[in-house]
Amino acid sequence: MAVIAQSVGRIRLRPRVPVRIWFPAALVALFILAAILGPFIDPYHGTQTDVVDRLLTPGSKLSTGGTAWLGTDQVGRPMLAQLLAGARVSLIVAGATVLIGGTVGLVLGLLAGYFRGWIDSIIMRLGDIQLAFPSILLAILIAGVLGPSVANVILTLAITRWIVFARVVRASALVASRRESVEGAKVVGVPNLRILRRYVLPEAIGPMLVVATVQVGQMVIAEASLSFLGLGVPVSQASWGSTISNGRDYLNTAWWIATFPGLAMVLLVVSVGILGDALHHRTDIAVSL
Amino acid sequence: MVRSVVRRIIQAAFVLWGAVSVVFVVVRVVPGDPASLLLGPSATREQIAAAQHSLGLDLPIFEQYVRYLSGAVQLNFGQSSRLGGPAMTEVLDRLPATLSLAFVALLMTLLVGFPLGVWSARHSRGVVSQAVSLLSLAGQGMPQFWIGIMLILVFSAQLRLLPVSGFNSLLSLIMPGVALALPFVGWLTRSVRSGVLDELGNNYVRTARAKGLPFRVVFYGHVLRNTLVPVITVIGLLLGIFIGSAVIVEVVFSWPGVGRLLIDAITYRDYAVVEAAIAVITGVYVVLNLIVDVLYTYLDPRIRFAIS
Repeated sequence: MAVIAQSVGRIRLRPRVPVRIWFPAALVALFILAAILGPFIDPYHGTQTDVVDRLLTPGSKLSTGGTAWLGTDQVGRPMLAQLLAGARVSLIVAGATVLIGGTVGLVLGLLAGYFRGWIDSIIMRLGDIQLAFPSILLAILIAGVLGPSVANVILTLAITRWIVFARVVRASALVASRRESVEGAKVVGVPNLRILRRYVLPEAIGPMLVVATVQVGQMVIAEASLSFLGLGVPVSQASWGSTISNGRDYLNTAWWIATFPGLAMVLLVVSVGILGDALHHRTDIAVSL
Repeated sequence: MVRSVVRRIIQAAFVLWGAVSVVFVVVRVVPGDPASLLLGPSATREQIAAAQHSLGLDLPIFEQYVRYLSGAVQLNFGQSSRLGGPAMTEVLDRLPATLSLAFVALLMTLLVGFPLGVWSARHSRGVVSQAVSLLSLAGQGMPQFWIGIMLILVFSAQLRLLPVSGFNSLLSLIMPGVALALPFVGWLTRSVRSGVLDELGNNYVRTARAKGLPFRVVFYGHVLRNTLVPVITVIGLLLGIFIGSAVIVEVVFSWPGVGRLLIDAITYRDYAVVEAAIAVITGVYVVLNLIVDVLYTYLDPRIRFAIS
């Protein structure tokens, strides 16, 4: 977006970012900040239970002197610390999953879209088989088999997601490969790897980023679902999902245990979703130009 | 046309075979042997060996696979190691509960999503429409199990209006149905909204307006009709998704469906039930997608004529 540098009247020198973009972006940044700084500000100790402090309402005073701003759970652990720790787990898992699944999907999508032929067939058939499973079911199956741990969750979710990325990248690669510039490069003898890197890859990055953004939100939900079932992150680490699962038994007495993690999740996922939407519009415009 | 249908059927069969095989591999790879789990920590080596033999676990892997496949084709997945009866029977017994839940969710999604989407496209510049858009996005961002728990909190724990768990009456269907459907109501609303808005950008709309037709006629008579062509495919898609993702909601509401059976079977390494349940769910899923695929091709004259 070029700007006219001369100050002629009231021309804006910088395009203003609309509210509906910077607000969710700020929220996401806040979550990331909270996740990084959480352990330093308000550390969560999974085993430090204080039965005296159990089931305190939000805002009550703790026996240690501090305030439980969001209440405590059934063994006396403060909710705020759990939320912060949970944010960390969610963001790490979602980020790593999208990174790994995205990379694998990117590579396979590029190969399938550029080389076509039997490579394309095999990759797409594999993808079809995988898509025959409703994704949550596949995740439950694999996670149930592997056992609860952060690494396993990331692996499981990455396995379920690669095909989503691969398909998008493949579509872009198919379009880009047909360009005359690519044909010309091949004729001149440019090696395939370089063609992929310089001609095909830039085409695929845009849609890929849009998908990646949406998937981060979906993966937060997926990780929470797995942890809720006890198949995700180990119970000693706070995950929003396992916290909500804890809160199930105390709906009558301590509604805040189950409520707050969910609210945090909705806030995060919606913000990421809005950003993804905005990214979608921007890349669409760029492509159609 | 017929050729493409046959091709799709063959593809679907291949996908189903692949899915069933993947389950076999995944389930057997696990450390943790159903025989020892069944018999408990005090079982002797002989007892475990005998149990393994009766479950067919001591055969070479390839032979197990062949047995498994030939059984699968006849819908026989063996005996449930945990419950005792034939695995397939256990699954089929619980299928109606899951299907009812899926259908109720589908009904809710369609009855709310479509009108809301159309309305918000019709009045797309209004503040309320933007709010609806935002709320739909919010709905999509809520995990289904949390929605379920919040519903229980409000309607069962606080208001005492609806039953907490189990499938005892028609009322029992409401909360699990909403929990399952809510994210997709949001999705459908936004999809319909953007579909209608896209359609409104077409040239024929401009022409019709130029001819003097009132906007109302153009909107409901032409735009809407064109947008609704893929309704059937949406129905099929949603049904498949609901059947597949009912697992979590079933756990939250202690619903007597296939999903909850599956979770229990995974925990207890009840191979036969895991295989049977996944076979049934993915089978339904694949068949539904196949029908959706074929119908979509058939209903859109542009694609149909392009193929034949």
